[in-house]
Amino acid sequence: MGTLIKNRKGIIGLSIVFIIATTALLAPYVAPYDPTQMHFQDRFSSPSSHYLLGTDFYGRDILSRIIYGYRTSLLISSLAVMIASTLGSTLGIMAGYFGGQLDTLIMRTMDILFAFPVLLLAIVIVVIVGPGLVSTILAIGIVYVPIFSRIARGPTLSVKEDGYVEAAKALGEGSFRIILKHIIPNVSVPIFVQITISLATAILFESSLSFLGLGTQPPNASLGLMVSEGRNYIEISPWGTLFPGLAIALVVLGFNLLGDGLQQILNPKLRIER
Amino acid sequence: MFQYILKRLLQLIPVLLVISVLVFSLIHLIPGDPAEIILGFETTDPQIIAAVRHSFGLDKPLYIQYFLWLKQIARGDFGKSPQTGRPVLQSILESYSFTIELAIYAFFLMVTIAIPLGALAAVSSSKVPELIAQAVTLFGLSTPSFWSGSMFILLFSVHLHWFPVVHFSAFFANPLNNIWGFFLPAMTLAIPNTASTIRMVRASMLEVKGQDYIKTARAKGLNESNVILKHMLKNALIPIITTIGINAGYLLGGAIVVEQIFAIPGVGRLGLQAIVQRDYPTLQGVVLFIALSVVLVNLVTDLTYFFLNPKIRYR
Repeated sequence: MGTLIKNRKGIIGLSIVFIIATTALLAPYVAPYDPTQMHFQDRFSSPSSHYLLGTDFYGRDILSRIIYGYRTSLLISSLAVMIASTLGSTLGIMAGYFGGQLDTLIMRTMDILFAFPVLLLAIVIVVIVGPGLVSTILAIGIVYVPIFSRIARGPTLSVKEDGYVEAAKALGEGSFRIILKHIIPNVSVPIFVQITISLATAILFESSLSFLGLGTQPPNASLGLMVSEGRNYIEISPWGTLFPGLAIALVVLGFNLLGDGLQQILNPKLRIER
Repeated sequence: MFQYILKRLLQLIPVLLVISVLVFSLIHLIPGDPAEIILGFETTDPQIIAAVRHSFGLDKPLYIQYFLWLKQIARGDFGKSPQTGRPVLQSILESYSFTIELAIYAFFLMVTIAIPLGALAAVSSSKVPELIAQAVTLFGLSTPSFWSGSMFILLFSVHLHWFPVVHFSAFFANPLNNIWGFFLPAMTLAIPNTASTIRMVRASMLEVKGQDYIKTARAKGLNESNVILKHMLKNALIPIITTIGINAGYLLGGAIVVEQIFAIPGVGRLGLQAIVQRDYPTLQGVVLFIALSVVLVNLVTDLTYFFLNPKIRYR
């Protein structure tokens, strides 16, 4: 943590993520208006003291919808990445630790999933299950499993050969205990870094699916859906597209900077030496 | 060498198998009677539905249906769209040229921006290229393409009138018009992949910069541009090409969103319309086409990497 504080990128990223996550959590107390409340007399308002970021085509406050939209995006992305990291790490550790045919089966399956274009796979899953919150979480979760399995397998393979693991096996410790005590602590750092990177891309992914009408459905507030709806009126009022897009960019930037900071701490070669 | 190519082609088989099973299963996994799905829910006449069920072999066991479907695809028969009545393959081939052009254009922009900028960021003594590279990278990796595309249209087409809003001539009819009209969509598609490529170029060049043979080259008295171009870039190129190849595959997937924003009648837009219209035979064809294209691009990347990397070639 001390090293992260000295890393400028990491601390800026962490601050952005913390502020946005807190705002999203406290949405009912922080948002100036109900996100679904329509003020027809104030449709397409520009930013003002009443509506800080303006209003959309239904007269709904854009700032309130962005705050609630953050809730949706962060919820979906976190759940999806949690599913992917848990399942992916488990598969990767099993493949690396037990090796042999299990390793081949798991990693070839992951290779096949990797070969499939990610957005396309997600679209197919959503079409089968039906658009909405659950299918979006499921789709993003499934497409991210291969990356976590690969990241977990690497350190598992090297730690498996270490002396203390051999000693533990000789002492009769079970595989589950060895994995828990020795493998997982070594895998957790790269997995954690990948989680921050994946959260960034998962938010982009979720907003892309919502933009295409396949993710979060109205009247739920979703940043991607807001951009899609706002595009129809972009010449009259660009605020409905501009601000939700910037909101997406800000939270993704936060996670990207945090991920970059963590990577720099772990891989000093990425720092420029002049 | 031939052995490696053969091994790589054999590795494709399970991938193609899984893709074919997934695409075939689409009709059966979607809720509803597959016969009604093929008909696009256009009729409730039980006799017509039964006739379709029989002609498509939907009353047979699943594995037989799969092989019948595979045989049909191999013959180039992707079925007919229940909405338009046109052969699905014909619609796909007409749209494919737009998607391919968009992807190639974006690829060209990606390579011409990312390699020089990433290399400069790594080797320049001035901080300016590094700052520009970081800004482009952060912008590219953080902004969703559906938003940046919309903003580009608003700024460059609607307000500044530098580019047409929605206007595409076929390339061979009017090349200049076509290239100008496709610039904004291609740039929108290229940006995220350019950002990740800049990162890889910079990281790869930094890795090479610290190597002993670079110090030797400088000690021998070679001028700096020679050191950078002949020694650093050449050796840094291999992981860069791998990244470019991976990103080329992403370009095909990302085209789905860009085609929607710019109303380009490509294969991605065709697929999205098929979802809305519940035209599942067309959706099957689109998914199959895009997946096969990405697999082909990945294969070409692997073979290029193989030919360029002497450590593998001379094993």
